[in-house]
Amino acid sequence: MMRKKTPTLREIQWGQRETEKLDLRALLCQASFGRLFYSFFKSLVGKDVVVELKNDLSICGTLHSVDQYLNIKLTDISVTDPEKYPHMLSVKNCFIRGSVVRYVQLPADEVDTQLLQDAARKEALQQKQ
Amino acid sequence: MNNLNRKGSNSQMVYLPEAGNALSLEDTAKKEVHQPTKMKCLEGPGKTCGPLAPEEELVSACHLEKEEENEGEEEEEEEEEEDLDPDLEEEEEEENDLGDPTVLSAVHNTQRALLSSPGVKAPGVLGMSLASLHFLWQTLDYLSPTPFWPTFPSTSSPARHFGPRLPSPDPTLFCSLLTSWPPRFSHLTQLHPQHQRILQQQQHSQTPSPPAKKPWSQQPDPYANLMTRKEKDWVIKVQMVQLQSINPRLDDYYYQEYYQKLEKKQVDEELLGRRNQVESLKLVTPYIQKAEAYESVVRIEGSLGQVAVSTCFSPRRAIDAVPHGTQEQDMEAASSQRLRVLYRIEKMFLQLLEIEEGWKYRPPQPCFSEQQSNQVEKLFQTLKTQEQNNLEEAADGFLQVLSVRKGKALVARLLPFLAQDQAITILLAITHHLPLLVRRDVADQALQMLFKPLGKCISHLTLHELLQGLQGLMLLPPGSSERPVTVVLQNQFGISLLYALLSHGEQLVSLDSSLEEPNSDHTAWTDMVVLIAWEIAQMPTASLAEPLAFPSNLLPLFCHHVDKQLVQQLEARMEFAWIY
Repeated sequence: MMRKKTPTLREIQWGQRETEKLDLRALLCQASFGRLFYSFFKSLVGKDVVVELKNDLSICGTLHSVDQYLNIKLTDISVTDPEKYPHMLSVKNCFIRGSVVRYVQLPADEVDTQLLQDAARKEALQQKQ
Repeated sequence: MNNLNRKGSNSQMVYLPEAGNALSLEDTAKKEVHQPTKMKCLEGPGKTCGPLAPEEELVSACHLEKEEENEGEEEEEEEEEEDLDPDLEEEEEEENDLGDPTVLSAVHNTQRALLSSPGVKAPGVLGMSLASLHFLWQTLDYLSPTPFWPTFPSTSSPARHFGPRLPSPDPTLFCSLLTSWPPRFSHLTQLHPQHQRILQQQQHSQTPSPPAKKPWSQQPDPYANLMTRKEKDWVIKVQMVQLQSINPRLDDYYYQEYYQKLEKKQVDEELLGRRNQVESLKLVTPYIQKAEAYESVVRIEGSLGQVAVSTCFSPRRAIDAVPHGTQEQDMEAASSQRLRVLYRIEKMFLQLLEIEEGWKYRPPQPCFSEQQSNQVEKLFQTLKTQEQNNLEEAADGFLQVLSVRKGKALVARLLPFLAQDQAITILLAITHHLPLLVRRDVADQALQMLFKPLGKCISHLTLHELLQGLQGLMLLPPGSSERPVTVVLQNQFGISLLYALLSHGEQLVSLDSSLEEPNSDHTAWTDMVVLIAWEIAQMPTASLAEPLAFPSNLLPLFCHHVDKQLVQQLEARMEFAWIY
């Protein structure tokens, strides 16, 4: 398992052990298939997606960037459902924390399912090693 | 905090709130005397920035250094591995109008300092270099045409700036300066060139945002500049450090492969047209030292189970969650059988992926290396389950694999790698069991993916083998009045395969027709054709499936062997099916 092991500032201040206990975000990002979906969403940057959040809000926009926590930045957004959410009218770009996303609707022709399967297999193999 | 970077022709100042604690030039110089690179950097900006008081600059620099000291280690790791792309910068600088050698050398030295200080725990160095670079960017920014404008997740940048190139730089933006340093702070540094191209095309095709559409630049934002550019970049760097990988082809598999495929497709298309897109696929990705593995599970002798060691990768590995219970026999048998087949398929897929990878990144010779042939052979044996003594079971195993969509995909991808005789074995096995496969494929409709690879190996069949394969379809099974071929004719894949086989047979026979003596094979062939024609004629047109490919020599084949009335019936059916 190859992960980040360079000492961070926190580690130096608090000692490595403490930081490991607290560094759950690193866990989240590199737990099973952490890199797979980051890689997958990276390939969709620039495409139009619809993100449905856990609070039932659906946002349509162009995928601007994604990070290893699958936080999403959308540009040029519009709320897809009837404007139950008028406070979103003036918003053009948004940053969505990865943990509040329920679904992401993607354009089907931008996804290579066969390649995705292969990537999942490779990732599973890596996990085992 | 009010950091103002005013980008303009002559004002290049960075004001810091602590600017009141002015240090004299000498003090600063004494401090840095042990680090020669810094001296050069100090001199650099001092010389070029005429109207500025050198002290103030140094003050700011020093304070930046102090701030950076703590973070130096953090940045250090990052910076030495960043793809600074020194060649690019140097080219840019040489183009600039000032062409000030000090500036150039300062930049150059800074780069060298950054690149050549592996593991040096001198926090001051990098902090200082960073600050000096900061000034240099200010100098250079308006001088050099920067082809790269990265995307960065700053909230103050308006929309549409996600491509590597901005249509026009916005001089009123606070952070526009540092956007001229793409690889260091860009969130999307490592875009595949194909991806970049696509994004640029997208940007060009879209209308550039009208100047009126800048709602934020008008009113002063009370919450702007809460963080300095450096702080923001530091946060971003913390994130990016985690993402650097030793082996991007493996860690970033999906992204790399996807854009490689796209690029290949585009190259293939462009081979017909212009040839201007011959770009190297090399992406500059940073390299980091391999991290040492560590024990995540601690076992102490004599203890029961595992010690509760909590790490960031396994917060509570306190128990071994392994199922040990027995299963109920009846219902589980079927599902476990299915699971076993799926498990076998997955294992074979891993082998297949290795073979494909080896083929893709092979040395220039076009044929298989010995290792690759061994791999292929091993996989083929696994597929055919040769270790089974019972032939029935072996065939059964193969059919089970083919009954699942994944298995069909596996065989379809494996076929191009197989030797000719191996491929023919598979083809004959499929032909022989075609009715069964067709029946099992009703849900998936996935047999189509086998058509193309099988079509390629049909052309290697001999007439004898062909007849053997087809005869199985024409035998009347005991206790049934229907030949297996009827089921085949109703399925798209089945009928396509059948037509392909007939077409090939016709080719073989017509080539062979020079031989005068009547061959037993030829008579068998004629009988076969007549029988099949009759079966087709018997089928109601509606249930006849539409083939994926309609070979041109079929109708003449039937005309040759079959009487006129039958031919008419056939024509009606086949053309009918063909049109739709």
